[in-house]
Order: sequence, then C-alpha cells, then structure tokens
Amino acid sequence: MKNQVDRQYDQIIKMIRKLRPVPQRDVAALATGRAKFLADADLLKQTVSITPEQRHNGWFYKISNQSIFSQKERTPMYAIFVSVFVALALFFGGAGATAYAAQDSLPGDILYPLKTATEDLRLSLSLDAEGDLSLYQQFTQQRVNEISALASRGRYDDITQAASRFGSQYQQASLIVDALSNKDSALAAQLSQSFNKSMSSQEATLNTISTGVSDKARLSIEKVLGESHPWTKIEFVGLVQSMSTDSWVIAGRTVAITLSTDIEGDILVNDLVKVKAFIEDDGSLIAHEIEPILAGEEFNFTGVVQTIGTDFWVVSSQTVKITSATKIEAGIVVGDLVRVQSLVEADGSLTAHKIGLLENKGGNDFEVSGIVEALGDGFIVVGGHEIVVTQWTHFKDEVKIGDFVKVKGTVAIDGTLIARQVGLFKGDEDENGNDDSGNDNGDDNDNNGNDDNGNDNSGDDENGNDDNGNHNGDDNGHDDDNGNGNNNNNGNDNGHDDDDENGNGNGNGSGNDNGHDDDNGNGNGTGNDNGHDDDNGNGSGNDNGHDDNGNDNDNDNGGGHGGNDNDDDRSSTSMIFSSFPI
Amino acid sequence: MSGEVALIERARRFDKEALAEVYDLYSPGIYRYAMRLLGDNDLAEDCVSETFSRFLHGLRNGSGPTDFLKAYLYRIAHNWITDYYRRSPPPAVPLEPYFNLARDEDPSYEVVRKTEQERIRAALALLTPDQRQVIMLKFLEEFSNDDIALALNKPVGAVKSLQHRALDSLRRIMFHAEERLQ
Repeated sequence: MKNQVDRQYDQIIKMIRKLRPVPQRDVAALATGRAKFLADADLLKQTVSITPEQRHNGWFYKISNQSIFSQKERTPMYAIFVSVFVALALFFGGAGATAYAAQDSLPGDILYPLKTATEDLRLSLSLDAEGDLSLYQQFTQQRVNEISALASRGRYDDITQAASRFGSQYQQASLIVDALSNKDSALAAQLSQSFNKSMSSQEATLNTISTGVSDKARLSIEKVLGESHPWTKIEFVGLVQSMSTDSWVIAGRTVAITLSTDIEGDILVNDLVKVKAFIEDDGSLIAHEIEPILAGEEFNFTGVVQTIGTDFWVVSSQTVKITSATKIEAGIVVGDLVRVQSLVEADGSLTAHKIGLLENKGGNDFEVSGIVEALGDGFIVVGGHEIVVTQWTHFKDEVKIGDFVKVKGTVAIDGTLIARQVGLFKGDEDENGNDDSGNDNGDDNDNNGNDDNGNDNSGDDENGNDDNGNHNGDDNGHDDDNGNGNNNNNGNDNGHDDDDENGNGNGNGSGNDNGHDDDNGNGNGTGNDNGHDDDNGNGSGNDNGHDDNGNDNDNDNGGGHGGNDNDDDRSSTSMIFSSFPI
Repeated sequence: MSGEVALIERARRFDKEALAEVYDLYSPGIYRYAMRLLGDNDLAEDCVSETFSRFLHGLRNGSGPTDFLKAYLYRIAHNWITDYYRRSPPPAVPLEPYFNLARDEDPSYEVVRKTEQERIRAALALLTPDQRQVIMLKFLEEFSNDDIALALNKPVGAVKSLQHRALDSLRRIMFHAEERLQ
C-alpha cells in the first residue's frame, strides 16, 4: 500500500502531465522557422568555408575559443533590439503581467509580497494626501476582499496577515483624514466622507465575516476593528484633573495609562489635553495618545450622535456647544456617525462650528436618467447634472456621449452627486415608474464594493453552479440561485409595486408563475432569478420583474416548479447582466 | 542515438539536407517542450528559432554536438527558457487549489484547464533549472534517465537525486497551497 507521500507524488506527476497537450504548431510559423534556419545555415556556411579546419580539440581549442572574437559580445544593434524586446516584454507581459496577476493573490500566496510591494510603490508615487487617501481606501477594500476570499476558502491562518495590514493601512488613512479635515476644502471633505463611509461598510463586512472564521482569525479581525471602529474608539479634549502612574483623570473620565500610551510633551495637572482612547468592553478607557492642546485650537473628531439639543449636542459622550454660527448638515439623527469640527475653549469645552454627516441609513440616494452630455476623467454629465465618478462607480454598460443612461448614487455633504452605478437606460426597466419605491435596500450593499464587479467571483463554487463571475452588485444575499450557473439576479423587481401592468411582455412562456399573482405573460428573458426566491430558474420565460401585483417577481422556472413562486422579493434592484459561460 | 554521428558530421559541413533533416526531426519536439513550459506560442517559436540558431553557431564554432543531438538541442532550449525566466519573473499565480479543479471530461472547462496549466507552470518556475529540466524531460518528454543525464551533462545518479528533490519541492509547493485551503 502506498504511503501518503507516494500518493502525493503520483498526483503531482499526473498534474504535470496536464501540460502535455499542446496545440498544433502553426504550419506557417513552422515553414517560416525552417526557411530562416536554412537561410542562416547558408549564411554561416559561407563564413565557415573560409574558416580553417579546426585543428585543436582539447584545451588549446578551449582557450583559443575564449578570444575576444567569440565572446558573447553582441553588436550594438543587437543590444538595442534586446532592450526594446525587454521593454515590450515588461510592458505586455513579464513583470508587469506578473504584478498584475499578483493583484489577485492572497496572503500566504507566493505572489502576495509582490502585491503589497506594488501597493507601497503606488503610495510612494502618489503626490498628495488626497491621492494617498484614495489609495488607502482602495487598499483597505482589497484587504476586506482578501479576508473574505480567505474566509470562504477556509484559510483562516492567513487572515491575520490581511487583518493586520488592514489595521495599519486604516490607521495611516485616519491620519490623513485628520489632516485633511483641517484643510476644509470641498475635495478633502468629500474624500474624508467617502473614506469614512467606505470604512463603515468595510467594517460591517469584516464583522460579518468574523462570525464565521476560526477563533484566532476572529480575534485578529476584532483587534483591527477595535482599532478602527468609531464605536470603540474615542477622542476627547479636557483638563487633566489628576495623574497617577497608571491612570489619569481627564475631564471627569478616568483613562488607563499603559506602556504603549503615547504621551507628548510634559503634561501637568490642569493642562488642556487631547486624548485618543480605546473603549474596552466594560466601558473603561485605555489611553492611546495624549497630547497638549491650546485653547483656540481646532479639535475635530468622529463620533456617534447621542443627544441633539438646541444649544448642545452630545457626540460619543462629548458635549459640544451649538451656536447660531454652527453649520449642521441637514437630516442628522441620533445614532448617525458624524464628523465634528470644533474649537477648544479655555475651560476645555468645545464649540462646534461644523457637524457633517458621515453615515446615515437612508434617504440621500439619488437617481438620474438622461443623455450623457460629457464624459471625462472622474465625472459624467447626465441631463445637465455633473456627477462624480469614482473608483467605486460601477459601470454596468459601456457608456458614451449621447447614450441615454441611468445613474444611481449618493448625494455628498456638499451636494455633490457621486455615482455608484451607471448603466444604459433600459426602456422597459422603468416603465412602471415604481422601480425605486423605497425599498432600495439592495443598493446599499452595492456600495461597499464587495459585490461589484467581480471581487466576489473568485471561484467559490460550493453550490456548484453559481457565480460564474457575474455576481453583480445588487443581490442582497438572500437568493439561492441555484440555477444553472449563469443567470444572475436581474433585479428589476419592483418590490411592491401594485400596478397591474399586464401584458408588457412577450409572454412566451411556459413558465408563468402560477402562484398567486396575476401577471400575464411578462416573460422575456431567460433564466433570471430575482430576489429571494428559491426557484431554480433554468427555464426560459421568466417574467422579468415587471409584474404585477403583489410582490412577485420572480421567475418561475420555466417548466419546473410552477406552483411555488415565492414572491418574496424585497430585493428591488435593477441590474441586468448577461452571462457568459466559461 | 549514436547513429546520429553521421548526420551531425554532415550538418557540421553545413550540408543543407542534413540540416533540414535535423530541423524536421527535432523542431516539433522542441516546440512542444517550450510550449509546455512557457504556454505561449510566440515565445515557443522564439525558443525554437534561437535553439536552432545556437545549434548552427555551435556547429560553426566547433562547439556543437558530436553525438546525442536530441539531448543537446533540449539542453539549449532549456537554457533559453531558463534565461527567459531570469529576464522576467515566473509566469503566474498559484492561487487556487492545485488539484481537482478541471473536470477533464467536460469541454467547457477548457478555460479552467488553461488556468490550471498556468499554475503548474508557476510551480515549475519555482524549481531550480536543473530540477525543472529533469521533471520536464522525465514526465512530459518521456526521456530515459540516461538520456536526461546526457541532456544535463550529469551522471545518472545526479539525475535521480534531482528528480527526487524536484518532486519533493513540488509536493511542498502544491500541497502546501492545498493544505492552506483546508
């Protein structure tokens, strides 16, 4: 009986033999190669004929052969050719391609160090803080994607590495956000806001992942979340009331001082200081950084709104005075995550001059449909609206000037429209006008970048046929699409719309859902399953979402299980992706 | 193989027929060999062209083979590929499990199989040039140990130990990746 190592060797040999099949050699190439070879031979023959016969075969020949004439010296032309070749190789393949390929690698993979090195290189090439921040935002998202991929592969041990890199990149980014918030430019505000928002969703994703991994991996994720999560971190300003070796009382709060607490300058009792601390599970505070701050200086912090009063707000346990000069973004409610810009008073109290919303749960999405009037680097103008296009913007279709498109996105603090999704306007998509009536919860998910294009498709094939690379955007995670592979959630379902639009389809189908709804023949399209349903849509003739009454949407699978069309869809999304079999 | 002495002797005199015979006899094998290791048609053609060009120059300089032409040509080809690897980093990313990915019977898995081949090449690229050559010649070109020894200019015993070390390295590369997935 073979031992395990032998069996592994067998497998390896079998694996290597998979390289055996080689496509037929191109006949023309063979002919050209052969002709060139023979032509070269002719050329060499002429020189060879005047070469005296080789008389020395032993050491003398070897030595004489080392003469300068036969060294591997190349002509200048050859050198140029080689460098051009190498440059082309680098450009089209070679190192560039490897670095590119490395972008899909995960911690623990051979090429992963190349990926991190590439990131560091890109950071070093970035010219300003804004550029850095946008890169960090991209990279922390990469970490989240990696952790997600590692978790789905069960590579829990490698999660620690990604988590710790996430933590350090987040911290770097936080420093930039802090610096930018003092700059008070529209771009800085927008970037900070965009960063904070993506951080929130990244953290949410990590939180979700952490529930399904090994203890060690969970700890590593929780550790970085603890460092980055606004709910477990606090920044405040106050007078130092008492000091001992292991704890200080600042503004009525006791903070523990540890060896890792970074204390700047000589601080005495009654000094005004700025504190960054971690909130422990029991509510106690551990100081991370304490530094002096002067009255009249600006103090900006991120926190959760706890109280909204008329002349004061409490944000993350910190009271800030509100005056008539305080600019407060509309729509902030208790529980929202905000960024407070305030001025430190001599007594350590704070007066807010600006409070901006970083994250809230609803409301400020927008949707614009119209003709593309202009299209540039970082923006698109649709129907007169200039809309910012970011790296997170998901282009469902290729879009050019003159196309009629639909753009969905978020309205930023300063009113800037930031596109989340751009696609060609599908005439039938909106006919009923109800598309977005309120149950847009699908779209939120879209924004964390996890689903859009492709990060998600890295081969988790557990259920066999799912995601062949088209896992798009909006599905809210409840669908079981056990279909045949390629059909992807095609949204459109208008959640709860009630109108009776019957017969806007081409009713072809064997698959009308004979559930409880009334739709008459809306089926067009094949194999779409939407929303939450379980049906295994492998049929054709699915109604594509436009139906009718009630909530139904889905697809009754052509042929199959007609009766159980489970109208469940609350998913409300509108993405149509065609699929491509691989 | 030693019957090649006469052929080589004619080739050395740049006898066109002999050279054409050498090309026809060995260029398809060299092409396949390069193709298997490089996975790229143009590179494989370059490799063939360069191999035979070096062969000609070898003949002219008197440093060419006196016998065992096949082993000689595979050695040149292999050196060219090794140089290529040195010029540009290894080809691809071992990311997915090495095993059980392609379902051989299903034609729609062609793409998967391609990726899989890329990963095997990436694993091979991590071996030393000699190890890689032993593995290639032994398991893909079906050379005997004696022929491999000729191609590598090494004793047969060294070939065997290279083969063993190569397999062991591959086992660590491939199964380590595999274990991480479990």
